[in-house]
Amino acid sequence: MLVSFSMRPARLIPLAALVLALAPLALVPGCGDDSATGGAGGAGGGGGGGPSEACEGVDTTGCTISLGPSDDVTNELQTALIEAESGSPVCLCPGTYLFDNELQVNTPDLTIRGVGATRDDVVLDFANQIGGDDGLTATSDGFTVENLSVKNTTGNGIVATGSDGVTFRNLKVWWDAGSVTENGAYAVYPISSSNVLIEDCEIVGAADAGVYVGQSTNIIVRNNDVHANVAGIEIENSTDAEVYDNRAYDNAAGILVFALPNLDKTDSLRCDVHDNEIYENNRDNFGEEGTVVAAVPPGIGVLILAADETHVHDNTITDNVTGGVVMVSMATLSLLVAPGEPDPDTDPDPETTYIYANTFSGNGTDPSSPLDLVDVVPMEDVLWDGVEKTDGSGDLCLSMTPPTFRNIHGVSNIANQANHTTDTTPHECDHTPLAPIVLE
Amino acid sequence: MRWLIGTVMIAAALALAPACSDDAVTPDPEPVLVTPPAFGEPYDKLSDWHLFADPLLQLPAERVVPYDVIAPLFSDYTSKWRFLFVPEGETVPYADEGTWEFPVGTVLVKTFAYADDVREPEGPRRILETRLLWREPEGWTAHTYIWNEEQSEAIREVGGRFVDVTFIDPLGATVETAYRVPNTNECADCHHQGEDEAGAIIVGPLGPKTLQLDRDADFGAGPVNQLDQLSSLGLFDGDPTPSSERERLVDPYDPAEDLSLRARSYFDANCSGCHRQGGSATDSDLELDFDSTDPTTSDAVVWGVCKTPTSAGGATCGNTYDIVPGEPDLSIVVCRMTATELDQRMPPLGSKIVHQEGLALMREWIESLPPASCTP
Repeated sequence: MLVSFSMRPARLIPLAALVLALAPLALVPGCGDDSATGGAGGAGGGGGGGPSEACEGVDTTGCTISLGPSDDVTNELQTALIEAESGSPVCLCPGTYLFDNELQVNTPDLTIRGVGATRDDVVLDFANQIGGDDGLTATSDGFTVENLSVKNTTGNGIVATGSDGVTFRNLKVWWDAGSVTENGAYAVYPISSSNVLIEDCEIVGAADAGVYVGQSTNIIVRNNDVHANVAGIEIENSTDAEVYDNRAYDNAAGILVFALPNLDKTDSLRCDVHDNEIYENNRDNFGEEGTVVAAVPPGIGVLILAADETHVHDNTITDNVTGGVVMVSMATLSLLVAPGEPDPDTDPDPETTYIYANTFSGNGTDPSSPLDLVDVVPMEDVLWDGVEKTDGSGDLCLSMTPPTFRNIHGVSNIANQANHTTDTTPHECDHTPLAPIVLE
Repeated sequence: MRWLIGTVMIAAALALAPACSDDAVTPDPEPVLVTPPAFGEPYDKLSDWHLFADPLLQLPAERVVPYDVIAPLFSDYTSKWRFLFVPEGETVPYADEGTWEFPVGTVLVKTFAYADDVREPEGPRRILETRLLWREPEGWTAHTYIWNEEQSEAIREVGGRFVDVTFIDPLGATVETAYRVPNTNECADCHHQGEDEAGAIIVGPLGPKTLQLDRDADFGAGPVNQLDQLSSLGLFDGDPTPSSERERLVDPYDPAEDLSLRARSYFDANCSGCHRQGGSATDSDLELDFDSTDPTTSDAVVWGVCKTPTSAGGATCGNTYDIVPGEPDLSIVVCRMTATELDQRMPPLGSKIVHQEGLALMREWIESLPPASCTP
């Protein structure tokens, strides 16, 4: 009366063959179904069983558990991640790992480390995922993932939620399909987290933001290559972020600092964007219709939305066809996307912004809708929608050597150039530079 | 006292499976007593717990009490059996609101099976897994046991698996799907009660609460109210509130019930595991537990009316609001229940198949809602 019972989806068989074809080192000749670690079922404890042949000749110093690709690797790695003691590095040896389910970390102070020579040697491929929608998720404090690649996730690449102490280091996250709407939204995605470090990563093809930091505190994003995404780097409703030494190019927009309404964390404060190279962010916006980021006009270097105390300095911002730095309020956002319920807890205007010592060239040569209505070519280096609670409350400083600037003084008729001003005199002032971020 | 619920449903079960062991038909079988392991050391084999007098028939051991819920979570048409075991001498404080607080040593048991033809749930079937929530001194722990092909034993599984299944659905169509046995962390996605100091998830039960258990069930002597039955067994510390004063869910698929209560009951059973204060979907700011969806006490935006999503990524189907009163096709809730893509479908865990009956209910209810500011 029972239907046939197989422990694994039949579809895994060809995948397993593919793994073997791609990673012959992972073979265990003559060992039958002896998986690489013996980690199936409840047997993954005690150090993860025997080492995989994928780990032969690989330096696994410091690794509590080392795994290689296998035909049951989703189960083996997930078991290891559950059974690992706090503080244990779980190491992945070179090869391509095909997962059929999202991987989840709920163990404090856990590190997932690729132990290949480069991040390209350890590839976590989620193309055949049938469960969960993100690639790798963490909910516990002290989560580090480093020196590996993640690709083809249906949803987000790597997510840390509510985690204190998150490190994303030397990762590559991308999609084989290139830059298409069907890709996952966010590639590296700490949310509601604190003490976040994202460094030395390459992020390509995210259908929303490549690096997305949401509702978090105390953040460093540095030395990443972020390209061919809708938004390169987005810091949203976060406090004390330092974004520097990154290269953001060929996105629809380079670096975004946002405060959005109707979120638990209501403000976006003190984001310091400096010493980045932000160029040629002119890609067509391939975001999913209905999302905020899908409404961003392509061709923007830095976009500030309603965030306060944003500092943008010492960046090289070049050849972004809509504009170098665009600073807007919720009033502009509501022109682009349907407004949600009014949120009295959110301050709708950007305030106390400081834009100084940047190198601008070649921006604003072909503004996208609706900023083409401003009808200025080239657009000035800094464009502001000019929406303030009271005159001067925006408190925008452009330093004593300001860039070119246009204030359109409201969004009711942005094409009315008679309303615009380009005089920088009211903004020739300085704010105190932000202190460097120190992670705890 | 000694509980006698172990005999529940034996007669019906025996009628189904005449080939079962002789023990079960002996008039006075040796009682099977639960033998919990030492805390922190869950058995690798389900049989070692001795939770069942007959595992294949899901006949419970002594003191293992079967129960049903009013509004079940849709789990891709699986059949489910639920039991609770509370150690001798322990009781549960009765509570109208929230999930009951169980004593250390409690075991909550849920077995999942597929009937070959889900239109005949009492017909041939295959048991897939038995999940346990075990109240250990430090808190609840989640364990799942996958049944073997012979249906003779179930083995503890930590890392989760897909199991290929084939069944005939309510419309008579043959469905092949990969049934998900959750890994331990996936259990915590829904059974999320908070986080400890290191940010690790604390898990706990969802179903055993007055809202869900306040219904009749047949314990062998005709239908009786489950709360009355549990009370008469001495489970509760304190008497249940009189029935007329108790709030309870309704059967979401009973057209005789109030449509709003049906929708709210569906939400509570199928969505509030994550979509509630403290649930794992807190970041969505969409709360769908029975209290939060009460239109007389809760702001409509809390349960999605004219609410824009927070971080839905691309999973909006191009729509703007979670619920647009009168317009199911403009409501993200409907499109996400309809979707099968991993990054779109809801719920994200526990089912892979679109729940047509639930979807029909949701559409009917949204059409019935009075227009709001976002209704075109």
